[in-house]
Amino acid sequence: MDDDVRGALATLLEPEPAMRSTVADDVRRGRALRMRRQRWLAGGVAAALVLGIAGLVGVPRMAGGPLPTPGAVTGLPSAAAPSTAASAVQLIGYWRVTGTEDDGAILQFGSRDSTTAFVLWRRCGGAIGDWRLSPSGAMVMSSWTGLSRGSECRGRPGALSPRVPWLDEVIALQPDRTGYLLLSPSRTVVAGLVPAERSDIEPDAGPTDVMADLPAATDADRHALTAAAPPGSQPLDPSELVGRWTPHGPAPAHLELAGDGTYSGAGGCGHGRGRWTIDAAGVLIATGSPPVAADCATPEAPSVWAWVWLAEARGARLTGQTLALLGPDGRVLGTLTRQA
Amino acid sequence: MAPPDFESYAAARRLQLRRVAYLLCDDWDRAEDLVQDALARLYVHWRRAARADDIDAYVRRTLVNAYLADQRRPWRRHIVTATVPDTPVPGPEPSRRDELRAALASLGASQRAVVVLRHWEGLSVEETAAALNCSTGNVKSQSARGLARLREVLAADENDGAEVS
Repeated sequence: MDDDVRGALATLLEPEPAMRSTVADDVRRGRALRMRRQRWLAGGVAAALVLGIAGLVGVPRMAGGPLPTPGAVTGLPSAAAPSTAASAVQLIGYWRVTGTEDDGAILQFGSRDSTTAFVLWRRCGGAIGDWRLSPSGAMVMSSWTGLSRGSECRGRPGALSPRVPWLDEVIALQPDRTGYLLLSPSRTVVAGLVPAERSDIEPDAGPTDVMADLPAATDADRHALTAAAPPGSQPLDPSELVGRWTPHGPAPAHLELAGDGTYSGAGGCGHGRGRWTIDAAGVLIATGSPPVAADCATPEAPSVWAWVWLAEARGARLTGQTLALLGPDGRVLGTLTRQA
Repeated sequence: MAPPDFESYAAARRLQLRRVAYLLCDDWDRAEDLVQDALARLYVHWRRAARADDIDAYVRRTLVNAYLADQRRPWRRHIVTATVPDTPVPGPEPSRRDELRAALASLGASQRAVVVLRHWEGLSVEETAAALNCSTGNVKSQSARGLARLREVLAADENDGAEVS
């Protein structure tokens, strides 16, 4: 009888479709879950570093328009701008998105133990990523993985996409009467954010049971969210840093800072990407993402992940063709040389 | 022997885990979601799980728990509606496979989990009880009732075959 049952069950498995996800997806989701649970392993390396908080400033748009001037957003009621500290801390929570293709989605901002992250909960599926806000109100966001609920989202085209194109346009945060406005480099409104509750998240959106709760912000979070430019940093214009940089070290690695506000980096067996900028006060901010490959360093050739320095940095110092990325306390996280 | 790394383990086991999940929920997409959730949880606890005597048991328990928890969620429940959807066009007689699927679907979530773990995964009563966090007596009774339902389908099929021959 047992064989009969097993054989009968086997017939139900046919035809068996190909899996739509990969082990890399499993790893990414595991990292996202671990991040939400604030269980980054100490030394687990770059994931924590990459997501380490740093405030974010307006992303330069060398090709797309004038550089933003964080803190001096025009075309909107500047008198409404609160203190930056209040903005960054008060942003932690749930917000309903208005005025975008994701109208009605819930955007959840979190920060804990110097780690920032957001979750965009659509009606079905969503995206996870990182956010940074500078003391002057400049902001960048980037998503790095999607939330999959294939069984729930079937027949809803695009519901599972981790891509959130409008987030790439965000360069500044501006308070308004009902919440906040996310602004583009041309000062147009990318999206509005209206206060929401956890209960507003669609239950079908994704693994809300493990990802939708928000821990209370700690003093360390508040400090990280409001930190000014570190000692020793320079008020550099983002355009001064655009280019390809090579970290000092024996292993091949690079960090490419693009004029459109994106960056990419590679080193060892890992690579990362995100968005970056420097504001007028010299605060450097960059979103992070977990490394997508295991470190393959050896004692003879340790991997250098310069994009991790960038995501952890709060300021920069440029001396000739040498760029030093500085942590919130002014410590040099790493130095890079401009590649010809 | 050194414990495997997470990627190696996931690569080796995710297909089989999805089969188990499919037999539990009868939906390939949902099965993959369940596997993803289970592996994400496993990733979080990998250091501890990799040291366990039986990683499979750990992830199997996570998978089944995710399935049972999912089943309890409100949106999984049937909704009573005043309007009737499209009327199906009469089709061919249901196959043995359809009947078996219907029989499995008629089992409760826990009962179905017992049947799948016992008769697909080949777990012992004790292992099944551990995976479901219930008593061995409960496993035995659930298994007996679940099998009785499936046996009706299989026996009917055998009888049909006898009549034909």
